[in-house]
Amino acid sequence: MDVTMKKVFQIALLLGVIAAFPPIALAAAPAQSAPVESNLDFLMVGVGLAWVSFIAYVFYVDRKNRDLKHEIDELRQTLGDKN
Amino acid sequence: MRDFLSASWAIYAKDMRLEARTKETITGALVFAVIVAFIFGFAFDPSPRIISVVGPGIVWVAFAFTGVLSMNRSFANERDRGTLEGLMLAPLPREALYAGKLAATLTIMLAVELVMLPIFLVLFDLSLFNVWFALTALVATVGFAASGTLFAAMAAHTRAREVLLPLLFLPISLPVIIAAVSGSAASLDGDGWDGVGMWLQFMMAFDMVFLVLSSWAFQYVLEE
Amino acid sequence: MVGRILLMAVSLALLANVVLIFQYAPTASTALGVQIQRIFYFHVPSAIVGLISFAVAAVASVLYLKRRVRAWDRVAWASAEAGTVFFTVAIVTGAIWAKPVWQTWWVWDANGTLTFVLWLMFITYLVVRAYAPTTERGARWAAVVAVLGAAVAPFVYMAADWWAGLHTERVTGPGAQGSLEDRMFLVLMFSLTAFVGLFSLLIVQRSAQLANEEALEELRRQLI
Repeated sequence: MDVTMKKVFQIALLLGVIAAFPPIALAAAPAQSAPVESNLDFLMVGVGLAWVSFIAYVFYVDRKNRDLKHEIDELRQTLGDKN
Repeated sequence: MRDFLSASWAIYAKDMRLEARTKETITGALVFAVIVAFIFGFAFDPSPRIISVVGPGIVWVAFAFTGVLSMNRSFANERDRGTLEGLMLAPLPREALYAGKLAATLTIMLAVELVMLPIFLVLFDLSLFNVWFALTALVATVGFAASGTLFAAMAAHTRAREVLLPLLFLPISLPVIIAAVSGSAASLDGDGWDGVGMWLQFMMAFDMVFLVLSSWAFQYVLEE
Repeated sequence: MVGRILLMAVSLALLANVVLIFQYAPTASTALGVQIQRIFYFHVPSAIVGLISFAVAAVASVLYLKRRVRAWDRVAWASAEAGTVFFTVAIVTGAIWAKPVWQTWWVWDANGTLTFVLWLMFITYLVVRAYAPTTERGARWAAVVAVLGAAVAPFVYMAADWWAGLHTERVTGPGAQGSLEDRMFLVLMFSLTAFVGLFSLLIVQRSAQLANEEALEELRRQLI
């Protein structure tokens, strides 16, 4: 489950970043007649989603860290009690 | 101070005696330098106009990469033969070991550079027989050897020392390379202190900082 | 508790940052690339945070070498990892911005060269840790790399600045033209704050993770 979650987050992040490229290219090419301003909103959403995925991953790692720390502390307790 | 000097000299003399007997480092480095210079002859059209622009660059690329070779051997042999532990057990200050090795590496690198001068003349019609160039080369080589000796000690203990030493050494030496190339170009233009002085001062500052830092850090690299 | 607050605050700041960059920041002039200029709000803070992380890594490394307290090494390591990412972002966003505005992916100016060299030093830091014969030596050697890297930074900047002045007409990096409009400055400051917050968050989390790893190792040894 953990490995899968990690892969899901990474893929989501990667897709978000990739999704941002076409709008960037559009924004960067001045010769295009496409309305740059309206594409900008798509770019904002794309970039925003990429950040949301990243933040979700950070929350996930944070929770795992905390859980692990609890386990380690408990283990230390039991080992200490035994000795 | 006495101990430091005599210990450094002992290390230096030992390395020089070894080199005089086997000549393995200097021949290897020299052959490599000649090959590098030779290959540059095919990297672009070696006409006088182009050489006047890229000449200093070729010289310092050749010297930098040859330097990596020379520095590598200063600790690699010790490590492979197991004499490094002996050195560390000996009652000498770590700085003396650093200084001795530094002096040995410096001697070899300068010797190689000296021999390369006529080679560059022959291959590229590039005359480097110039006092200001000599000064630049001296100060730059000290700069190379200062951090290089430290990193060679590090790399000697790893499996991938041929990869690790350039990775450690080259980014740190970038300022020296820039200054050496610029200073050499200025000296070849006949600029004297006006053109070369700035670079010499820059490199001397670099040398002082890195001689001090490297000798300080050396103990941490050698510790078991 | 503090960790949780930091996490929430940084997350909100980063999301608000995205909105600010696209909605509040004004549209730039054609010289700066109009809309693509908005990448500057990611590019500059990343580069600055990269520099901060190098400073943190260097200071933590010195403290670790002097006192041998594990916490300092963990902070240095976490900083090196985070710094690599921030520098990578800075370099990539710099290239994306430069291409449409200046028709070139890379400019050899002082800022770019320094960022690249420091990025290389961070990579070297991580490689040295990986290739060292023991973890203890890896930590010490990497600390040495961090300190020397920090020492070389001003030399690289100066030399690269001179070098760039000789060879390119463009001397300033993106956005370095006089004063910024008020709204641009505000968004830049907000973005910088958010990124510094992100850096702190990453260091705290990564150090805690490394501490957990070490505790696990210790427990494993106890049980065996």
